[in-house]
Amino acid sequence: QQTLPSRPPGFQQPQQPRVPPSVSEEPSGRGRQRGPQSVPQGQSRKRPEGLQISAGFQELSLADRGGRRRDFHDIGVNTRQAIEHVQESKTGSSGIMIKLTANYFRLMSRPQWALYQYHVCYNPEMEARRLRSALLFQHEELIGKTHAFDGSVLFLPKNLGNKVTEVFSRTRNGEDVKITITLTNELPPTSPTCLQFYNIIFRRLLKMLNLQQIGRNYYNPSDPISIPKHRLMVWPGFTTSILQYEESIMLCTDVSYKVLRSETVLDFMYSLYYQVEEQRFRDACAKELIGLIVLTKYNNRTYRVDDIDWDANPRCTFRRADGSEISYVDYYKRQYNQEITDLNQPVLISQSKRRRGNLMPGPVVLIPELCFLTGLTEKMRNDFNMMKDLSTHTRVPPEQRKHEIGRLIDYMRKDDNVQKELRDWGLSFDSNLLSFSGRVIQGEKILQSGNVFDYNPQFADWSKETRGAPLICAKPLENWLLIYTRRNYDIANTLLQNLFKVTPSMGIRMNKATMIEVEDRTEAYLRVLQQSITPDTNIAVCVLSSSRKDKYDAIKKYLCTDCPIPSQCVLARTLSKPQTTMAVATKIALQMNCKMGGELWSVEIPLKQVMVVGIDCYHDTLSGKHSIAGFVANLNQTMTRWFSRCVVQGQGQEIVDGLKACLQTALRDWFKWNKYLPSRIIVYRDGVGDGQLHALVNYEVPQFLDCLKSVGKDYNPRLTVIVVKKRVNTRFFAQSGGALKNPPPGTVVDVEVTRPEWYDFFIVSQAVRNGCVAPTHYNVIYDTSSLKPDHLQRLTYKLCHMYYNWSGVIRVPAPCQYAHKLAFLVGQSIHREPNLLLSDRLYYL
Amino acid sequence: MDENFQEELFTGVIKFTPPLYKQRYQFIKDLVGKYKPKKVADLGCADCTLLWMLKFCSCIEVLAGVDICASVMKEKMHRLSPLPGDYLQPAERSLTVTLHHGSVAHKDPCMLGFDLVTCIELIEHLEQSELKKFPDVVFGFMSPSIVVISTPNSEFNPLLPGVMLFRHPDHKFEWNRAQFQSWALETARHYDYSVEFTGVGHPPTGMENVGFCTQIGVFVRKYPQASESAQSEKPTKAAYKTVFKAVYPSLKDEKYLQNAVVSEVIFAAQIMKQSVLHRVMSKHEEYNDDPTERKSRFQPSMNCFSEDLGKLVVEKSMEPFINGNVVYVPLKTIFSFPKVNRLCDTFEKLCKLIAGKVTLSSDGSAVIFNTEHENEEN
Repeated sequence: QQTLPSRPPGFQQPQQPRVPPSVSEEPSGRGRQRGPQSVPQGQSRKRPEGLQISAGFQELSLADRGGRRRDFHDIGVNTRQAIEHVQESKTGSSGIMIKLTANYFRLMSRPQWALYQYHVCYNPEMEARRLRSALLFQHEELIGKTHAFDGSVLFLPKNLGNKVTEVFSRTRNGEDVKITITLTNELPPTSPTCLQFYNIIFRRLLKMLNLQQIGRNYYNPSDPISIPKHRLMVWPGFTTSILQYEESIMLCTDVSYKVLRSETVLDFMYSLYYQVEEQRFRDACAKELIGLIVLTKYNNRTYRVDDIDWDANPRCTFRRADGSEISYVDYYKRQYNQEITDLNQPVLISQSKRRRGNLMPGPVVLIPELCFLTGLTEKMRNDFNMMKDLSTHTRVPPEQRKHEIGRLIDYMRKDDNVQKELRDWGLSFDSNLLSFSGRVIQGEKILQSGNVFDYNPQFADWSKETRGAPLICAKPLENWLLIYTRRNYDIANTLLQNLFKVTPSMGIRMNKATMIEVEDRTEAYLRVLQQSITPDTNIAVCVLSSSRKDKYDAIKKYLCTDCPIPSQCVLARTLSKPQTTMAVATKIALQMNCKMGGELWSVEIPLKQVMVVGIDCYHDTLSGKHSIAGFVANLNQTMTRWFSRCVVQGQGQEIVDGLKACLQTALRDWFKWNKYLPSRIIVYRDGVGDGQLHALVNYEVPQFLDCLKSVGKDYNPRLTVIVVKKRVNTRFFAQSGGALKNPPPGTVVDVEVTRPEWYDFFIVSQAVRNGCVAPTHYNVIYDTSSLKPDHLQRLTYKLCHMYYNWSGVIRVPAPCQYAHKLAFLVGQSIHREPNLLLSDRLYYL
Repeated sequence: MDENFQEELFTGVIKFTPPLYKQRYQFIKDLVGKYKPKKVADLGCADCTLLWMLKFCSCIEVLAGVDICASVMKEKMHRLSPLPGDYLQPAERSLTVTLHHGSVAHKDPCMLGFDLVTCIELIEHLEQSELKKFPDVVFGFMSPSIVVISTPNSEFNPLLPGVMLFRHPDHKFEWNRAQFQSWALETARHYDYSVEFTGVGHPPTGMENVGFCTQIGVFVRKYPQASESAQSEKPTKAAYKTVFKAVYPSLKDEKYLQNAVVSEVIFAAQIMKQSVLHRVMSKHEEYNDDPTERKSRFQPSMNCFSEDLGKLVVEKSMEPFINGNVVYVPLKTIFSFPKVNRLCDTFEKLCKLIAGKVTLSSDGSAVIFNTEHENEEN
């Protein structure tokens, strides 16, 4: 996408006026939906039952990002009730008990506490919400100072005495209005409406504490961390939510860091201009900026940049609500006293999906000079030094994190207004973090070609222990290509020599590679590949001189689609340090072996005839906005070989249709390998966004069942579907001695912080060197396996040991990580479905 | 017909475009634009809409609001808080916004020293006893250079549909022009102010004789501002309760100035460092595949380009250099970056502000970077 079709300045679209952001004083956040969106759209709009709070009321709580407010916590999706064998208990039993604390505070209310919900109506009917409020609160002596009112629903902490109360107010025009206040509900503390209400009140409290809302979280602007080297500013803040958990209603709060940039979009464009050639400038801008969230200088709104209009500039005019024409320069000068100095800058376009006041959804025009960048770009995320600088501030170790979390409760305790508001509603928070017991399940032994390896379970890493040991299945390198540029000849040779050193002990037979020198151009690489690859070629190895993505993409695309053979790209720089070349060559040898269908290690898996499926999604925000789902399923009992396929979602297609096809082929291939069909299928579904659970349960699971039915009349496998979530705000701290530490790998939590309406658990499977470890949340949304929770938890943990690109335990079951890798490669580089000939190998590692 | 007024003949309903309340606020904004007051107070600020509009006026350094009803102020007071952008790029001017809960019939020393006091649609809400005290509080005690008072013109009321007695049930009175003007002239005379009358909301054609819908008196103090000492003799007992206070980040505040300077210095030094490293590397390397290295060959042609980079004149002695693993970027060079220059004024000030915040060479003349630990990727 290069530029918009040229239009005269001041171009007006009749139906959808392109306007600067409306003059609204309410701070609000909106923008890119962080969570992936892979479930059917039509379905996800539907709100689960149990939410009675009106839309107007939620407005009181301030807008959440992402346009229409969604049910981020998937309240009202009750999946446990349909799973028979966990009605009594969903907890596991094995392992050693461990004392844990979590970032949760209990919400406490007076005994017999209730929230009184009233409906308020006016005779004659009054339209404006402000007027309705003003008229109602003329009766403050009756209603009291503590209330929440959205124009028709009124919440009070007290009972007005009568079922129906009638009062009279007078408008400024002297008109008498009868107001009827009817008690509609007396809500117990645990009702879903009440939960929504708590969150609304809590947001009020955060505002009282002078925290700034950006997106969904609240930040403290008064003490920012500044990283001038990268023009970054980090605001410490909190993410909070109040929910009904296993035993009680709790506030879950975690520290959150908002990365803001002290440069405007215009500053950014200028510095980019210096870095790229002129003819690539617009493309580069589009690539870097589209999809980013910007924050306007003059109000507290965030917008997603959807396009850049190079034909427009700040002197263009738009039509105001009153019909008059005004230029952007004049508008911002007059409205916000903002001087636009660069009159030649293009404008940014943001497609607003939400109605704002009486403005229809449509494109909004933003001036680069008046917008700050927020968050990190992909490029910044890939900048090792920058991320290192950032992480020194944002990766907080357990003890410090606990301290930071406690600060929120401290702030609240010290603020009189907050205390008064809480008192008036009859609520309070426990001052201590939640404490309870978890379990640490036994570590797994690594089995590799007859050897059994033990390792320190604390580090969850066996790279040292297994180095140089024979692999379960080593694929020979008999006929392979090594392609390099002249400048990298020495490096290519170093790689070759080191591979000769490290492969024999692994059991990999290796011949000398066909060495081919190429010019450092994409076409040169492709031509060599076309000319040199024969049906006997095992793998093509390319040494690349820079991390330029286009060359990598072209090579991968060709070798994954048109000419399906495994390939390995290596950056020359990676091999340039003599002290690490051996280690790098070892890793490359292992990776190449997997790509050719080799097997590295396994763990003991007692469960038989089970097919484990991993699904993850990639969302392409840049080109075309299509989504890609990776689908990976084991082909053998030991879970060392995998079937991999992906779905490229086309226009108007649902990803689930493609997933059905994947499952069918996976079962067919399973049958070819094993001569029988699996009796159990366990799906680990990653890439599910907040608020999409409902759609998954009601749409995707039935489709899987349908698909299994279509396999054969007598085929009736047991199905388990588990939603895997890495982005959770839950943190656990282990109490060891006086200090808090990260819980060890293998920590399982299935009490207190889980949800009563779900069959869910947390596992900390990985170890981290700095900062706090993030547990992974597993939510079993469908299960006819009758497997004990303990067995399912242990199987899940075992699967976290099986990712061949990392000799250690990872955060998610291996098939999920494989699916992620696959979807990422296809989404980033290949853009269409890879050749199915590769599907029995981990070619995308 | 007047451009800001429109009569719908069918219904006989008078509608002002823009709405009358906006016209009143715009009137104040225009006044602020003309007189450039530094300290402005709005009496009867209600939901703080006028204050919110005024916070964008760059001449204003102190904004205060007073209202008898705390809850109406609190409802939307948070929009008077600084925005993230105000923290990201602190303004040159300082700004403090304060909201007070109290009555205009009471004197509070926090209301002293203002340049402009506005009373928009306020006096008609005052009880007789309060109205009597009001001139003494505003003109006698606060005694700002300018006072603006607006109030309904009752002569216009017959043109407004549904208005029986007063426009709002809480109004204690509504004056015609003669009543307002005689009150205003008497007040002005007594407190040594001059007053001029105007208004907003033009009457429809043919009805010009009724006057503006809203009548406005602009009072200007005739004597010079009372000295600080004279003011300190006035009562100091607080009568108002502060319900809100926001201090905007400003470069006048040492903390923000230092942050801004350190930030610019490091960023500028970083740019210089990169360019010197690239220069060295491109000398050594035959091939150049890294897109960032194109910089040196590239001539900016986009107009009004980043002044920091484009117009930089670097003398020989000021050029950054490499010694071993250390890159030296002379402070003098950094000081020549326009943004840094503008923030610091003098080189001495620059040195003072960055002391202890930026790693400098042993003689303090250059920012230094150790290149050893860079580029440890993977």
